[in-house]
Amino acid sequence: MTHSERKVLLKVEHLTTGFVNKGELAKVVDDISFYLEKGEILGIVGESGSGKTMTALSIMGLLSKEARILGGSIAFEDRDLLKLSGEEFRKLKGNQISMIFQEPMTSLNPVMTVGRQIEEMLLLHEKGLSEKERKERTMEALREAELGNGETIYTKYPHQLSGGMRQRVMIAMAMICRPKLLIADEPTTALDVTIQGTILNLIQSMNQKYGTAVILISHDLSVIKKICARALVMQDGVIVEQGTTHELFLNPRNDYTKKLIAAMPSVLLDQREITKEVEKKVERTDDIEKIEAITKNIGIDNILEVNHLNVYYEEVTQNILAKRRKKQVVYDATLHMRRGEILGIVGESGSGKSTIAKSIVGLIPDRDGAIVLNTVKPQMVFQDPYGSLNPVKRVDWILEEPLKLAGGYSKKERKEKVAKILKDIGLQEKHGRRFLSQLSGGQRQRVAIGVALIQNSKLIVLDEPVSALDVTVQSQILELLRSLRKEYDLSYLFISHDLNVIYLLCDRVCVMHQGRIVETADMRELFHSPKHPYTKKLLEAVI
Amino acid sequence: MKYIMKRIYTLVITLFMVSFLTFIAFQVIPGDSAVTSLGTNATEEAIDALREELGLNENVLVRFFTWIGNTLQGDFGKSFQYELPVKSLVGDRMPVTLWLSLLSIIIILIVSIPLGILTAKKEGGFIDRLITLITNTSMAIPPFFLGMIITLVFGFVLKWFIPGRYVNPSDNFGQFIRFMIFPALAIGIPKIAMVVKFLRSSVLRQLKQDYVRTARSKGQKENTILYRHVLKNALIPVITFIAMVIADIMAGSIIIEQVFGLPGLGRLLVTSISNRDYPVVQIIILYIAAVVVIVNFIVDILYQYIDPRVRV
Repeated sequence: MTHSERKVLLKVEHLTTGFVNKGELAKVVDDISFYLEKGEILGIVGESGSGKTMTALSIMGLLSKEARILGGSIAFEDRDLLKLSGEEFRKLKGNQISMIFQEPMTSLNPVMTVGRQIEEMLLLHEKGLSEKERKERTMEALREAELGNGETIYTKYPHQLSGGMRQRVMIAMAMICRPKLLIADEPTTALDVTIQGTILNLIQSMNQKYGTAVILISHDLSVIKKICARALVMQDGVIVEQGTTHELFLNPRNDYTKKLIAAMPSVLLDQREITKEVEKKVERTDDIEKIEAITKNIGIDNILEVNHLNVYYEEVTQNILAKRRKKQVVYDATLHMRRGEILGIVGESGSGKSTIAKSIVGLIPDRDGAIVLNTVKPQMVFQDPYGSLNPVKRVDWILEEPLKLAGGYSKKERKEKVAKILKDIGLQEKHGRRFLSQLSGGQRQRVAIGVALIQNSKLIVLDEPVSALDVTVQSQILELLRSLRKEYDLSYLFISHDLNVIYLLCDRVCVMHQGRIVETADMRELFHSPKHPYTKKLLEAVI
Repeated sequence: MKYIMKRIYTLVITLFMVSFLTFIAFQVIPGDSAVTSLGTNATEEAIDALREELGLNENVLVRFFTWIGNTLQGDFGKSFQYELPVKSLVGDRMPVTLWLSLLSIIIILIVSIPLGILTAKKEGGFIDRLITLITNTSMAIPPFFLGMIITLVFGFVLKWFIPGRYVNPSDNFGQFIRFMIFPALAIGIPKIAMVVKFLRSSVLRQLKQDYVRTARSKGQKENTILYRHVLKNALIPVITFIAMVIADIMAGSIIIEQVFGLPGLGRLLVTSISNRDYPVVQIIILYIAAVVVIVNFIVDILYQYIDPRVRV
């Protein structure tokens, strides 16, 4: 046995995992092999459906009933996990190998206190501890996960904690038995951008302190780059490239890796790439000036003006006789949009950015302040097209419906218009005959944009339109938005929590924090000299 | 404490509204108790005199508030039909209905909760399919029909119990169970089926939740996951459902008492309605409404205990 072999903690060889459905076999992970050294942080990157989560679940023995491991071996310290009995494997779980998941909101039991959920680990794997010792250990774990002195969190229920705190609880729980391997499956994806960095730091410090090896799974290359020494790139169930992270970024060999890096948000690229981005932006600015010149001639400059907007929500109370209380969610928001402009609104969840958007398209009646629109009814595109469009209708029906409602078109005209829009949004005629469930996430979002487009509005409000999409699809949709703007003279109000996406698309940005617009600036100005402390914090979190 | 006060206040308002609506209902439906008790051949004068005596000529609101006032003081009035105090009429029959309902609820709970868990655990297996088949069938049988079958088979053919007999539990508990178990089963069986189905799907839904996967990743045993993590979550919607079932049993027992000839409130209510004996009807309806509201109240308290997310 050579020295390097002795250091290997986990060795996956020819692992094949898939679903068996009515005798048909669908491989999700196809003959992959990789190893993990003791104390190493290994990244697995790939888009959804690339098989990275299935790989993790195979190692953890957590595959659903429908999924099967079809072949290969997973050696953990020279023991093949696939040959262990259920009982032997169960004793390893939590104790030697533990896992944290993408959804901190739902990964904890809602009706059990955080303290008890962590103690459950000790009850399972460190028998013989007294109740007092268990509590002591739990408190220590909570403190280590930077959850204050632990005392207050201990008796809390998951719903009383924020997403970031829950993920810390998950980490405290996963680490309490000092496992040799921690699998972190998209641990930061569901979190706000300002919190993502701190969670990664916590995982890294756990790794350094206890020598726990980590497999970090993410679709986000910037996350991988931040803490992983080595990374695998997965596509369609196959490892297409692996190597040190540095090497992968510097000269990616595989086309898919190149594509992933190219689709990566520009702020993370080297100087050369950024200049290229800026050049592109200059081109765009020219367009705006042209458009502005035209609109100024007509005498209308702003397509949208919002003055001193306050928005309220009614609080729900059980008592029907109690006076309804109103909760203010947007405070004194003022903004304007020039014709042809792409204005971004960035902020964390709950900052009120979606509320402003909904007020502008008239979805929220309870507001004061003025909203002046110099266009026909603005259209809105939502994050989840599957939820916001009718899933039991065909795409062409969905596109045609607004025309029917508007009236004034003959059947032939409607069909022609639908055909044109389909082409413009980059879909083919055959897609029109399909249902939403038969389209990919990116194609669905294209349909949603088409629905907004077909109504001839010049202003489209996009609420997190690419947040649910993979990075390569994201960049395709952003490209589509750019070309549509040119063709249709559109203005976009673009809402996102993701500064990277905002950077790639917008001309100006409003930064929102706790219901207020704290800063409005030109895109470049904002990135180079942010003024408000919150903006600085946001930018730091990205870079 | 503040919360409980608020609930009591809701209870009072609900009961007030229910009794007012019952009062109004009696105004709207044709016929009155004077005519019913004297018969259609009675003279106008005699009917008028009786109306005067019973206070039926007063304005409806005056009568309503007089009744409320008396009821609050514990005076429930006199039955027109039996010429007996309502208190003793209802008081004699109330225990029968109460015991019948209670017994059926207990049967439902002790049978359906283990069965619900079992079917979820063995999802798709033979036991699951068998129980699902049985529950689907029994859900389709109306309780009164089930009652008739039970009376026929166990009462008349096997002679395990005598229909129409009722023994006080304090007199002879064994005999009490012997006579009550069959009507309680007639009420319970279709409801058991519903609760089993509901609990099964609730447990299955919970088993798909992320926190179950977390528990598995901790190395927890499947059985412990089921009982420690899943069950409490799965019971949350089931509790609401059981509360609805209990309200339904109150109504269901009226029919079952008729079928089994039990001297409970159900029979009294039916005869009182047809005789326009409104003092009796008012009290019985008030009692049923109170039970429904109180059960809901208990459910709310239980929720507070079981689900930290709704704690106030």
